[in-house]
Amino acid sequence: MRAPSPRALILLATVAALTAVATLVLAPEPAATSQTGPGVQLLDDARRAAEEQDFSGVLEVTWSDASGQHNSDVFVRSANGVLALGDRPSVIVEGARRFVQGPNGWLAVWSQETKPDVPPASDKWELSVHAGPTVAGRPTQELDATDRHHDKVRERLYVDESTSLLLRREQLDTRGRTVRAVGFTSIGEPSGALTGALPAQAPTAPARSASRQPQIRHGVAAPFRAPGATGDRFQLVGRYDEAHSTLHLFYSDGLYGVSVFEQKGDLDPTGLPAGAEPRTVAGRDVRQYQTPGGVVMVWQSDDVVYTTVSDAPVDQLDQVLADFGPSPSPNALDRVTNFVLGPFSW
Amino acid sequence: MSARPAPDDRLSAYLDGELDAAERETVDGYLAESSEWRAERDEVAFARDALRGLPVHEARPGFWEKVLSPDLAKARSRRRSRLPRVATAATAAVAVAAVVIASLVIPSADRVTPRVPALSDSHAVRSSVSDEPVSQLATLSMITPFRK
Repeated sequence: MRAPSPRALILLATVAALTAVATLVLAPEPAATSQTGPGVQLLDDARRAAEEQDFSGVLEVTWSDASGQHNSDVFVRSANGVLALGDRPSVIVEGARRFVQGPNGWLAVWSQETKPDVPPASDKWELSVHAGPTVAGRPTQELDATDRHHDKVRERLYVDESTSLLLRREQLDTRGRTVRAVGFTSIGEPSGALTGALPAQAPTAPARSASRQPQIRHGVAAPFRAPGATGDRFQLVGRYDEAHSTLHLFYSDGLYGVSVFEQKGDLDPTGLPAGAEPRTVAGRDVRQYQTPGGVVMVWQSDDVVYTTVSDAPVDQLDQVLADFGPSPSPNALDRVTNFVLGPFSW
Repeated sequence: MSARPAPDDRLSAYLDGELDAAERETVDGYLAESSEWRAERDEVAFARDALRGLPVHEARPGFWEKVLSPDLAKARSRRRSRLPRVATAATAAVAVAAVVIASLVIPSADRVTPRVPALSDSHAVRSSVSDEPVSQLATLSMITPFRK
């Protein structure tokens, strides 16, 4: 048998390399990972129960910012696989679909079926399950998530013993103080016996809606960056194109999610919401907001404006921010500029 | 009768008063008879007065050393500047031109103001797909100062 010619070998190597690159570029979202352990199982059950159980109740959201502690009530109702939030529903969940009430009607903001795509929380957090307190009049199982590095409980979740509904979750700072909480103050059957203010009709998905859904993005080009992992074991589980040329990266550690939004340009802070807390993180000027949904950070690095949104503790976000620092190597324009101006030491 | 010569160095000496009586008399004769001699006399007188009218400055320190020691001056010059002055000037001109062209051709970066409330909502929606949806989406139905 004759040995292959050099040209054939080069051709084979090229095809193999292109196949490997295509596999990476065209691969769907990262594959699901196996989830094991009682803590992980409890989290998984709670995710499903919210969409499968029929119930109605009042949810209280508590958060703190520089001006003090705040709380707000939200009516919740779920029936026949449709979940509605708001007294005049402003958010509807039906399976994978998400609708949000906009100024001119319903907006379809998500519809993609997504497999379980987050890493097991037990990979990073020490999860312990034990009998919990009564929440909204119902006995619970308590799931504590402990930071293995500092042996501190950072999140407590209370799950209904009988329905697996998540009745309350609390986030704690490093001193053990509750900094944010979401929990039912009352919950009952969907008929609304406990909450007379709830609408009598079962929620339904809107018949008409305008699409405002992000598109899955398969590749990321400079100056944007999309590391496969960031911070303390947050794994990249989704890349999306959002409105206004915004790249949306979604990371998860199984317990918390982190969104990193990237926009090309220079930060113009004049239009940002008021109430930002100025901070310096990893040598960069950061504007930080404490919101009911978690922490928002806005900063700039190179020619990209970053906005990070997360329900994770702020110390976890600081580590994420450090991974989106200045580019390690100059781009082509930087190299040309350095070449021209270098001899003059400008 | 002897032929009259062309104007020569005697004019400069004449104007400086360095000729003896016989030479001065001869030159006076030429000036009286010849317009060529008179014109030359006027030019020499103008040049001499112009030179003498220039201001007098002290030479900078080391100038005379260089003049008197050419080899030393050359060696010092080589150490101080490796690039010829012409090359340095040309390089500087190219750099200035590059900066000007870059400022005209390369567009300035866009000014970006992130729509923070909308981005927060996008995060909540995406989180609700992977996480427990009630706790993630609750804030979307809230009216707070941050979301106004």
